[in-house]
Amino acid sequence: MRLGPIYLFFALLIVASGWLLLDQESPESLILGEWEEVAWKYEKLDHGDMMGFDIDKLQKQEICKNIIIHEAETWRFNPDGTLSFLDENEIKENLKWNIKGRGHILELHHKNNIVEDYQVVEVTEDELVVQFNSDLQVRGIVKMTFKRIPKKQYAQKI
Amino acid sequence: MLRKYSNYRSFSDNLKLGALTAFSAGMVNVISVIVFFAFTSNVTGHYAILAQEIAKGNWYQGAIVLIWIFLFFAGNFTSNCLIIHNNTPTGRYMAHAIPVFLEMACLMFVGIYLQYFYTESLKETEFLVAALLFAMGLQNGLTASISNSKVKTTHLTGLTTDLGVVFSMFTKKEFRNDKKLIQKTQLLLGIMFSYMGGGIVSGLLYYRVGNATFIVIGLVLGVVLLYDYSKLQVTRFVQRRRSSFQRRYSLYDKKA
Repeated sequence: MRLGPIYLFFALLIVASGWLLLDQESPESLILGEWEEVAWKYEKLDHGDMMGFDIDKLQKQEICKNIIIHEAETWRFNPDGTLSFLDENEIKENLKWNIKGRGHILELHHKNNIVEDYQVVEVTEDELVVQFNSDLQVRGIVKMTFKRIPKKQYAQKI
Repeated sequence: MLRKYSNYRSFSDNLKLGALTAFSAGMVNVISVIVFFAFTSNVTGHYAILAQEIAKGNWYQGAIVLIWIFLFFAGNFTSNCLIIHNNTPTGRYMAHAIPVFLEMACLMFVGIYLQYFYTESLKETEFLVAALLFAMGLQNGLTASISNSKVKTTHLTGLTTDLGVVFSMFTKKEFRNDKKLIQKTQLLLGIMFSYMGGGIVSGLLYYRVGNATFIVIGLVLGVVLLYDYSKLQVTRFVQRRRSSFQRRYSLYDKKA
Protein backbone atom coordinates (compact mmCIF):
# COMPACT_ATOMS: atom_id res chain seq x y z
CA MET A 1 0.00 0.00 0.00
CA ARG A 2 1.38 3.39 -0.97
CA LEU A 3 1.25 5.62 2.07
CA GLY A 4 2.76 8.74 0.47
CA PRO A 5 -0.46 10.06 -1.11
CA ILE A 6 -2.40 9.42 2.11
CA TYR A 7 0.16 11.32 4.24
CA LEU A 8 0.20 14.09 1.64
CA PHE A 9 -3.59 14.34 1.69
CA PHE A 10 -3.70 14.67 5.49
CA ALA A 11 -0.81 17.16 5.49
CA LEU A 12 -2.62 19.27 2.88
CA LEU A 13 -5.83 19.17 4.93
CA ILE A 14 -4.02 20.45 8.00
CA VAL A 15 -2.17 23.16 6.06
CA ALA A 16 -5.45 24.23 4.43
CA SER A 17 -7.13 24.38 7.85
CA GLY A 18 -4.31 26.52 9.22
CA TRP A 19 -4.52 28.82 6.21
CA LEU A 20 -8.29 29.12 6.62
CA LEU A 21 -7.88 30.05 10.27
CA LEU A 22 -5.47 32.82 9.33
CA ASP A 23 -7.47 33.99 6.32
CA GLN A 24 -11.05 33.92 7.62
CA GLU A 25 -12.37 36.25 10.26
CA SER A 26 -13.26 34.51 13.50
CA PRO A 27 -16.81 34.85 14.90
CA GLU A 28 -15.25 36.77 17.80
CA SER A 29 -14.10 39.59 15.54
CA LEU A 30 -17.10 39.42 13.19
CA ILE A 31 -19.49 40.09 16.03
CA LEU A 32 -17.82 43.38 17.03
CA GLY A 33 -19.90 46.49 16.36
CA GLU A 34 -23.51 47.58 16.68
CA TRP A 35 -26.41 45.31 15.89
CA GLU A 36 -30.06 46.21 15.63
CA GLU A 37 -32.80 43.70 16.43
CA VAL A 38 -34.95 43.12 13.38
CA ALA A 39 -36.95 39.98 14.17
CA TRP A 40 -37.97 37.57 16.91
CA LYS A 41 -39.33 34.28 15.73
CA TYR A 42 -40.33 30.91 17.13
CA GLU A 43 -38.36 28.61 14.92
CA LYS A 44 -39.41 25.17 16.09
CA LEU A 45 -42.50 24.25 18.06
CA ASP A 46 -43.32 20.89 19.56
CA HIS A 47 -46.95 20.79 18.57
CA GLY A 48 -48.92 20.95 15.37
CA ASP A 49 -47.35 21.36 12.00
CA MET A 50 -46.12 24.86 12.64
CA MET A 51 -42.46 25.32 11.93
CA GLY A 52 -42.22 28.99 12.66
CA PHE A 53 -44.11 32.19 13.24
CA ASP A 54 -43.23 35.76 14.11
CA ILE A 55 -43.39 36.96 17.69
CA ASP A 56 -45.26 40.18 18.20
CA LYS A 57 -44.33 42.92 20.66
CA LEU A 58 -46.61 41.68 23.46
CA GLN A 59 -45.30 38.13 23.26
CA LYS A 60 -41.78 39.47 23.25
CA GLN A 61 -42.47 41.48 26.39
CA GLU A 62 -43.86 38.41 28.11
CA ILE A 63 -40.86 36.28 27.17
CA CYS A 64 -38.55 39.02 28.40
CA LYS A 65 -40.49 39.35 31.66
CA ASN A 66 -40.30 35.70 32.57
CA ILE A 67 -36.77 34.86 31.60
CA ILE A 68 -33.61 36.77 32.13
CA ILE A 69 -33.37 38.54 28.89
CA HIS A 70 -33.37 42.13 27.89
CA GLU A 71 -35.53 44.20 25.70
CA ALA A 72 -32.85 46.26 24.06
CA GLU A 73 -33.15 47.27 20.48
CA THR A 74 -29.48 47.61 19.85
CA TRP A 75 -26.61 45.46 21.05
CA ARG A 76 -23.13 46.98 20.92
CA PHE A 77 -20.26 44.50 21.16
CA ASN A 78 -17.06 46.28 22.20
CA PRO A 79 -13.54 44.91 21.60
CA ASP A 80 -12.76 45.09 25.33
CA GLY A 81 -15.25 42.28 26.00
CA THR A 82 -18.12 44.47 27.15
CA LEU A 83 -21.57 44.55 25.64
CA SER A 84 -23.91 47.51 25.87
CA PHE A 85 -27.66 47.17 25.47
CA LEU A 86 -29.15 50.31 24.03
CA ASP A 87 -32.74 51.36 23.82
CA GLU A 88 -33.40 54.54 21.89
CA ASN A 89 -29.72 55.43 22.15
CA GLU A 90 -29.70 55.10 25.92
CA ILE A 91 -27.51 52.47 27.54
CA LYS A 92 -29.80 50.13 29.48
CA GLU A 93 -27.18 47.69 30.69
CA ASN A 94 -23.49 46.96 30.37
CA LEU A 95 -22.26 43.41 30.70
CA LYS A 96 -19.44 41.07 29.70
CA TRP A 97 -19.57 38.85 26.64
CA ASN A 98 -17.45 36.05 25.24
CA ILE A 99 -17.68 33.42 22.58
CA LYS A 100 -17.11 29.76 23.41
CA GLY A 101 -17.00 26.38 21.69
CA ARG A 102 -16.04 26.60 18.03
CA GLY A 103 -17.53 30.07 17.96
CA HIS A 104 -21.11 28.86 18.29
CA ILE A 105 -21.94 29.90 21.86
CA LEU A 106 -22.41 33.51 22.95
CA GLU A 107 -22.11 33.85 26.69
CA LEU A 108 -23.38 36.98 28.43
CA HIS A 109 -22.32 37.66 32.03
CA HIS A 110 -24.64 40.03 33.83
CA LYS A 111 -23.42 42.05 36.79
CA ASN A 112 -25.56 40.00 39.18
CA ASN A 113 -23.56 36.89 38.21
CA ILE A 114 -26.30 35.55 35.98
CA VAL A 115 -25.03 33.99 32.78
CA GLU A 116 -27.06 33.68 29.60
CA ASP A 117 -26.04 31.37 26.77
CA TYR A 118 -27.17 31.87 23.21
CA GLN A 119 -26.38 29.70 20.23
CA VAL A 120 -24.86 31.70 17.41
CA VAL A 121 -26.57 30.38 14.31
CA GLU A 122 -24.97 32.80 11.91
CA VAL A 123 -22.67 35.76 12.07
CA THR A 124 -21.66 37.56 8.90
CA GLU A 125 -20.71 41.09 7.93
CA ASP A 126 -24.39 42.06 7.80
CA GLU A 127 -26.39 39.64 9.88
CA LEU A 128 -26.30 38.06 13.31
CA VAL A 129 -28.71 35.27 14.19
CA VAL A 130 -28.85 33.83 17.70
CA GLN A 131 -31.18 31.31 19.30
CA PHE A 132 -32.29 30.59 22.82
CA ASN A 133 -34.71 28.07 24.28
CA SER A 134 -38.03 29.25 25.58
CA ASP A 135 -40.75 27.14 27.19
CA LEU A 136 -43.32 29.86 27.67
CA GLN A 137 -46.81 29.21 26.32
CA VAL A 138 -45.42 27.12 23.54
CA ARG A 139 -42.15 25.32 23.89
CA GLY A 140 -39.76 26.16 21.15
CA ILE A 141 -36.60 27.82 20.03
CA VAL A 142 -36.66 31.56 19.75
CA LYS A 143 -34.57 32.96 16.96
CA MET A 144 -33.36 36.56 17.16
CA THR A 145 -32.11 38.22 14.05
CA PHE A 146 -29.97 41.36 14.05
CA LYS A 147 -28.80 43.62 11.28
CA ARG A 148 -25.46 45.41 11.51
CA ILE A 149 -25.69 49.17 11.91
CA PRO A 150 -23.03 50.74 9.70
CA LYS A 151 -20.58 52.88 11.68
CA LYS A 152 -21.48 56.19 9.99
CA GLN A 153 -25.21 55.67 10.39
CA TYR A 154 -24.74 54.82 14.05
CA ALA A 155 -22.70 57.96 14.65
CA GLN A 156 -25.34 60.08 12.95
CA LYS A 157 -28.07 58.44 15.05
CA ILE A 158 -26.24 59.36 18.23
CA MET B 1 -2.81 -2.39 34.54
CA LEU B 2 0.05 -0.96 32.46
CA ARG B 3 2.74 -3.64 32.74
CA LYS B 4 1.12 -6.32 30.63
CA TYR B 5 0.49 -6.26 26.94
CA SER B 6 -2.02 -7.72 24.50
CA ASN B 7 -3.14 -11.30 25.29
CA TYR B 8 -1.01 -11.50 28.45
CA ARG B 9 -3.49 -9.20 30.14
CA SER B 10 -6.04 -10.70 32.48
CA PHE B 11 -9.71 -9.74 32.78
CA SER B 12 -8.90 -8.02 36.06
CA ASP B 13 -6.13 -5.93 34.41
CA ASN B 14 -8.54 -4.74 31.73
CA LEU B 15 -11.34 -4.05 34.19
CA LYS B 16 -9.14 -1.91 36.46
CA LEU B 17 -7.59 -0.02 33.54
CA GLY B 18 -10.95 0.44 31.82
CA ALA B 19 -12.79 1.62 34.92
CA LEU B 20 -10.16 4.16 36.02
CA THR B 21 -9.43 5.62 32.60
CA ALA B 22 -13.15 5.75 31.70
CA PHE B 23 -13.77 7.60 34.96
CA SER B 24 -11.15 10.21 34.02
CA ALA B 25 -12.51 10.45 30.44
CA GLY B 26 -16.02 11.07 31.76
CA MET B 27 -14.67 13.79 34.04
CA VAL B 28 -12.76 15.48 31.21
CA ASN B 29 -15.71 15.37 28.84
CA VAL B 30 -18.16 16.92 31.27
CA ILE B 31 -15.81 19.65 32.46
CA SER B 32 -14.97 20.61 28.88
CA VAL B 33 -18.65 20.90 28.03
CA ILE B 34 -19.22 23.07 31.11
CA VAL B 35 -16.22 25.33 30.53
CA PHE B 36 -15.75 25.32 26.75
CA PHE B 37 -19.07 24.10 25.31
CA ALA B 38 -17.22 21.40 23.38
CA PHE B 39 -16.95 17.63 23.74
CA THR B 40 -13.41 16.39 24.11
CA SER B 41 -13.54 12.67 24.71
CA ASN B 42 -15.28 11.66 21.51
CA VAL B 43 -14.99 12.80 17.92
CA THR B 44 -18.05 11.25 16.26
CA GLY B 45 -20.02 14.41 16.89
CA HIS B 46 -17.14 16.51 15.60
CA TYR B 47 -17.25 14.69 12.25
CA ALA B 48 -20.97 15.50 11.97
CA ILE B 49 -20.33 19.13 12.94
CA LEU B 50 -17.49 19.36 10.43
CA ALA B 51 -19.81 18.20 7.65
CA GLN B 52 -22.48 20.63 8.83
CA GLU B 53 -20.09 23.61 8.95
CA ILE B 54 -18.74 22.80 5.48
CA ALA B 55 -22.30 22.55 4.14
CA LYS B 56 -23.12 25.95 5.69
CA GLY B 57 -19.95 27.48 4.31
CA ASN B 58 -18.57 28.31 7.77
CA TRP B 59 -14.95 27.72 6.82
CA TYR B 60 -13.42 29.09 10.00
CA GLN B 61 -15.48 26.81 12.26
CA GLY B 62 -14.92 23.89 9.87
CA ALA B 63 -11.14 24.40 10.02
CA ILE B 64 -11.21 24.49 13.82
CA VAL B 65 -13.18 21.26 14.04
CA LEU B 66 -10.85 19.59 11.54
CA ILE B 67 -7.82 20.58 13.63
CA TRP B 68 -9.52 19.25 16.77
CA ILE B 69 -10.14 15.90 15.06
CA PHE B 70 -6.50 15.88 13.93
CA LEU B 71 -5.32 16.48 17.51
CA PHE B 72 -7.31 13.45 18.70
CA PHE B 73 -5.72 11.45 15.88
CA ALA B 74 -2.28 12.79 16.85
CA GLY B 75 -2.82 11.66 20.44
CA ASN B 76 -3.64 8.13 19.32
CA PHE B 77 -0.68 8.14 16.93
CA THR B 78 1.78 9.34 19.59
CA SER B 79 0.53 6.84 22.13
CA ASN B 80 0.83 3.84 19.87
CA CYS B 81 4.20 4.99 18.52
CA LEU B 82 5.58 5.14 22.07
CA ILE B 83 4.24 1.65 22.78
CA ILE B 84 5.37 -0.19 19.66
CA HIS B 85 8.84 1.38 19.57
CA ASN B 86 9.59 0.53 23.20
CA ASN B 87 8.04 -2.89 23.40
CA THR B 88 10.79 -4.59 25.40
CA PRO B 89 10.13 -6.49 28.64
CA THR B 90 12.27 -4.02 30.62
CA GLY B 91 10.93 -0.81 29.09
CA ARG B 92 7.31 -1.88 28.75
CA TYR B 93 6.04 -0.20 31.89
CA MET B 94 7.74 3.08 30.93
CA ALA B 95 6.45 2.85 27.36
CA HIS B 96 2.93 2.40 28.67
CA ALA B 97 3.33 5.01 31.39
CA ILE B 98 4.64 7.84 29.18
CA PRO B 99 1.28 8.42 27.40
CA VAL B 100 -0.40 8.65 30.83
CA PHE B 101 2.30 11.12 31.95
CA LEU B 102 1.73 13.20 28.80
CA GLU B 103 -2.02 13.08 29.35
CA MET B 104 -1.58 14.26 32.93
CA ALA B 105 0.71 17.05 31.71
CA CYS B 106 -1.92 18.21 29.19
CA LEU B 107 -4.67 18.16 31.82
CA MET B 108 -2.55 20.01 34.38
CA PHE B 109 -1.61 22.59 31.75
CA VAL B 110 -5.30 23.19 30.95
CA GLY B 111 -6.19 23.41 34.65
CA ILE B 112 -3.37 25.85 35.47
CA TYR B 113 -4.06 27.95 32.38
CA LEU B 114 -7.75 28.16 33.24
CA GLN B 115 -6.98 29.18 36.80
CA TYR B 116 -4.34 31.84 36.18
CA PHE B 117 -4.32 33.01 32.56
CA TYR B 118 -7.67 32.35 30.87
CA THR B 119 -9.33 35.49 29.53
CA GLU B 120 -12.20 33.58 27.90
CA SER B 121 -11.16 34.51 24.36
CA LEU B 122 -12.15 32.24 21.50
CA LYS B 123 -8.52 31.55 20.53
CA GLU B 124 -7.73 30.29 24.03
CA THR B 125 -10.88 28.17 24.09
CA GLU B 126 -9.97 26.58 20.77
CA PHE B 127 -6.42 25.89 21.91
CA LEU B 128 -7.42 24.40 25.27
CA VAL B 129 -10.07 22.16 23.66
CA ALA B 130 -7.35 20.98 21.25
CA ALA B 131 -5.08 20.13 24.22
CA LEU B 132 -7.87 18.13 25.88
CA LEU B 133 -8.63 16.26 22.66
CA PHE B 134 -4.94 15.40 22.32
CA ALA B 135 -4.94 14.12 25.92
CA MET B 136 -8.00 11.97 25.29
CA GLY B 137 -6.43 10.66 22.09
CA LEU B 138 -3.34 9.66 24.08
CA GLN B 139 -5.50 7.79 26.59
CA ASN B 140 -7.67 6.06 24.03
CA GLY B 141 -4.65 5.03 21.96
CA LEU B 142 -2.95 3.59 25.04
CA THR B 143 -5.89 1.58 26.36
CA ALA B 144 -6.90 0.27 22.95
CA SER B 145 -3.34 -0.61 21.99
CA ILE B 146 -2.26 -2.48 25.12
CA SER B 147 -5.55 -4.35 25.55
CA ASN B 148 -5.88 -5.55 21.94
CA SER B 149 -8.77 -3.10 21.43
CA LYS B 150 -10.77 -4.69 24.26
CA VAL B 151 -10.71 -1.49 26.33
CA LYS B 152 -11.81 1.79 24.76
CA THR B 153 -12.63 4.37 27.32
CA THR B 154 -13.21 7.76 25.78
CA HIS B 155 -16.31 7.15 23.70
CA LEU B 156 -19.27 4.92 24.27
CA THR B 157 -20.63 4.37 20.75
CA GLY B 158 -18.70 1.14 20.21
CA LEU B 159 -19.31 0.10 23.79
CA THR B 160 -23.08 0.51 23.49
CA THR B 161 -22.99 -1.46 20.23
CA ASP B 162 -21.05 -4.26 21.93
CA LEU B 163 -23.45 -4.26 24.87
CA GLY B 164 -26.41 -4.56 22.52
CA VAL B 165 -24.73 -7.49 20.75
CA VAL B 166 -23.75 -9.23 24.01
CA PHE B 167 -27.21 -8.90 25.56
CA SER B 168 -28.78 -10.24 22.38
CA MET B 169 -26.43 -13.27 22.68
CA PHE B 170 -27.80 -13.86 26.16
CA THR B 171 -31.24 -14.44 24.70
CA LYS B 172 -29.88 -17.85 23.67
CA LYS B 173 -29.48 -20.27 26.54
CA GLU B 174 -26.09 -21.68 25.49
CA PHE B 175 -24.40 -18.27 25.78
CA ARG B 176 -25.70 -17.40 29.25
CA ASN B 177 -23.01 -19.39 31.03
CA ASP B 178 -20.21 -18.51 28.62
CA LYS B 179 -17.46 -17.18 30.90
CA LYS B 180 -15.86 -15.05 28.18
CA LEU B 181 -19.13 -13.35 27.32
CA ILE B 182 -19.94 -12.73 30.98
CA GLN B 183 -16.50 -11.15 31.53
CA LYS B 184 -16.90 -9.03 28.41
CA THR B 185 -20.27 -7.79 29.70
CA GLN B 186 -18.77 -7.00 33.10
CA LEU B 187 -15.94 -5.07 31.45
CA LEU B 188 -18.31 -3.09 29.21
CA LEU B 189 -20.67 -2.30 32.07
CA GLY B 190 -17.74 -1.36 34.28
CA ILE B 191 -16.50 1.12 31.67
CA MET B 192 -19.98 2.50 31.08
CA PHE B 193 -20.74 3.11 34.75
CA SER B 194 -17.27 4.54 35.41
CA TYR B 195 -17.62 6.98 32.52
CA MET B 196 -21.02 8.06 33.80
CA GLY B 197 -19.73 8.27 37.36
CA GLY B 198 -16.76 10.38 36.26
CA GLY B 199 -19.09 12.74 34.43
CA ILE B 200 -21.38 13.17 37.42
CA VAL B 201 -18.49 13.64 39.87
CA SER B 202 -16.88 16.17 37.56
CA GLY B 203 -20.12 18.13 37.19
CA LEU B 204 -20.62 18.24 40.95
CA LEU B 205 -16.98 18.99 41.71
CA TYR B 206 -16.64 21.82 39.21
CA TYR B 207 -19.31 23.89 40.95
CA ARG B 208 -17.53 23.42 44.28
CA VAL B 209 -13.81 23.48 43.54
CA GLY B 210 -13.72 25.00 40.03
CA ASN B 211 -10.58 24.39 38.04
CA ALA B 212 -9.08 22.22 40.79
CA THR B 213 -11.23 19.46 39.25
CA PHE B 214 -8.33 18.96 36.83
CA ILE B 215 -6.12 18.05 39.79
CA VAL B 216 -8.65 15.38 40.80
CA ILE B 217 -8.53 13.97 37.24
CA GLY B 218 -4.74 13.97 37.49
CA LEU B 219 -4.97 12.06 40.77
CA VAL B 220 -7.15 9.39 39.16
CA LEU B 221 -4.52 8.94 36.45
CA GLY B 222 -1.85 8.98 39.17
CA VAL B 223 -3.52 5.91 40.68
CA VAL B 224 -3.17 4.14 37.30
CA LEU B 225 0.54 4.98 37.21
CA LEU B 226 1.37 4.28 40.85
CA TYR B 227 -0.58 1.03 41.13
CA ASP B 228 1.64 -0.65 38.57
CA TYR B 229 4.78 1.09 39.79
CA SER B 230 4.18 -0.25 43.30
CA LYS B 231 3.52 -3.73 41.90
CA LEU B 232 6.80 -3.53 39.96
CA GLN B 233 8.67 -2.50 43.10
CA VAL B 234 7.17 -5.41 45.06
CA THR B 235 8.07 -7.85 42.27
CA ARG B 236 11.64 -6.54 42.15
CA PHE B 237 11.94 -6.76 45.94
CA VAL B 238 10.72 -10.38 45.92
CA GLN B 239 13.09 -11.23 43.07
CA ARG B 240 16.05 -9.67 44.92
CA ARG B 241 15.19 -11.56 48.12
CA ARG B 242 14.78 -14.78 46.21
CA SER B 243 18.10 -14.46 44.38
CA SER B 244 20.01 -13.56 47.59
CA PHE B 245 18.39 -16.51 49.36
CA GLN B 246 19.36 -18.81 46.47
CA ARG B 247 22.96 -17.49 46.61
CA ARG B 248 23.17 -18.15 50.34
CA TYR B 249 21.62 -21.59 49.94
CA SER B 250 24.09 -22.55 47.19
CA LEU B 251 27.05 -21.37 49.38
CA TYR B 252 25.75 -23.45 52.31
CA ASP B 253 25.49 -26.44 49.94
CA LYS B 254 29.12 -25.99 48.84
CA LYS B 255 30.36 -25.76 52.46
CA ALA B 256 28.42 -28.87 53.40
